[in-house]
Amino acid sequence: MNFPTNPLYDNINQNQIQGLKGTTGLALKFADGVILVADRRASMGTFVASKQAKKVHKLNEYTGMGIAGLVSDAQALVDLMRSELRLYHLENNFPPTIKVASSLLSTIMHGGYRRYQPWWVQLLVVGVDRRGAHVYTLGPDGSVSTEDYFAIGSGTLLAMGLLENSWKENLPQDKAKELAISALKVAIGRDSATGNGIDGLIYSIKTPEVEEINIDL
Amino acid sequence: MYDSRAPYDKSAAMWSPDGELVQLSYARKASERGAAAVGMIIDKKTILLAGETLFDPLVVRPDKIQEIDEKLFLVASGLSTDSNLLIGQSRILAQQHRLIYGEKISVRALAQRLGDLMARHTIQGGLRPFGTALLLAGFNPVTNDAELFFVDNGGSYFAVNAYAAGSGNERVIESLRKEYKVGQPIENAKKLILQIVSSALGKKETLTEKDLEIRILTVE
Repeated sequence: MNFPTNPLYDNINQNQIQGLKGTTGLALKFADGVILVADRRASMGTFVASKQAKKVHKLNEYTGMGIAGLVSDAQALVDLMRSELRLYHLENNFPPTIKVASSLLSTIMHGGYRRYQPWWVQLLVVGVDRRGAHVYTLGPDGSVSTEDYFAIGSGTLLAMGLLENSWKENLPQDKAKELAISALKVAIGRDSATGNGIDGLIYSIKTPEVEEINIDL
Repeated sequence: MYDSRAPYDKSAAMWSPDGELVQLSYARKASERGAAAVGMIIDKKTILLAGETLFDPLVVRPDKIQEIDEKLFLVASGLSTDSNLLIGQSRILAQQHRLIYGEKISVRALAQRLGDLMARHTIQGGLRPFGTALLLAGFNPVTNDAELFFVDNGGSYFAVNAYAAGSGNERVIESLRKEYKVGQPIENAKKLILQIVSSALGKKETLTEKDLEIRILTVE
């Protein structure tokens, strides 16, 4: 897997894995919620395998998931999580929190990692719930951490460079959206596995509606 | 004495022609031989749980009200070995939920899981139904409102405002139907429960808190 934040990085012969990969995804909290954006390129080595890959997914009305890594694994996890979150809601009679979603993913992914069948993905799990806005990030070993802002995929370091400098607490929504898009544009400009447009989701505690971002580049 | 329900009580998984699971009826009888247990939602933030602990003076008084997780309690009435199995299982289910979802299990979800387990014991051959009925008390994680669930021997479960299990349960439930009202002071509620249980068990003297373990659960 070709991003340096992966703890398995050193052990992987990149040529052996010819799945679809390469991405930059990032999420950040702002005053009333959370933004998740990602590019649209899926690559196989130097080949651009897709120019309209979907990397931000709605799990339900208030939870979103950004994916990087092996596309098939990530898509399977998105489908699984949609079902699991609905089951949780029905069994408990109340909606699952963002923490529930990330804990469950961590359980699944750590289980795979310890059985030598890791889910080959990095994830961002974001959303708003009764406790406010959240950004969780998960690694392929099942590690989970809660962050104010974070990036995943091959363009991680590029996007994080700008976020590190410019993210502030309680940014207004328009400034936060601007920052998210410009950080992603840094990765699109300098990472060859990132590009072809921007998709995004904005979850706000002010409105139950999800705002979508769709930018053709 | 000849029992007309024979031979339909030979297996727990066998229906009688009247549509009765005869072994399940026997199991209910077993739980009605257990010490009385009562649960009552006093108001949105307070629950009263009570369990009768009148036993042999030679035996150290057991805890009738068992903690399953933080602010989540269970009173079981019936065959104590079956109760202990379910209490142990409840604690495991509660911790499994924390490990998988990172949050405490809700009363409803625990009632559902226990109900599933108990229902399986009325369907699968070679098993017998649990001789115990349960009251589960806790608070809703979203609204913080008090929640009380009753789980029957056969695994059916439902949310209640006040309910009883164990000996005299029918009479206690009958009295609760007449006397229950939301929002009474805690001391009145305690007195009411002591009275209701004493008369349901046909005691000459009203029971005290020494004979009936009472616990008040509050949200904070």
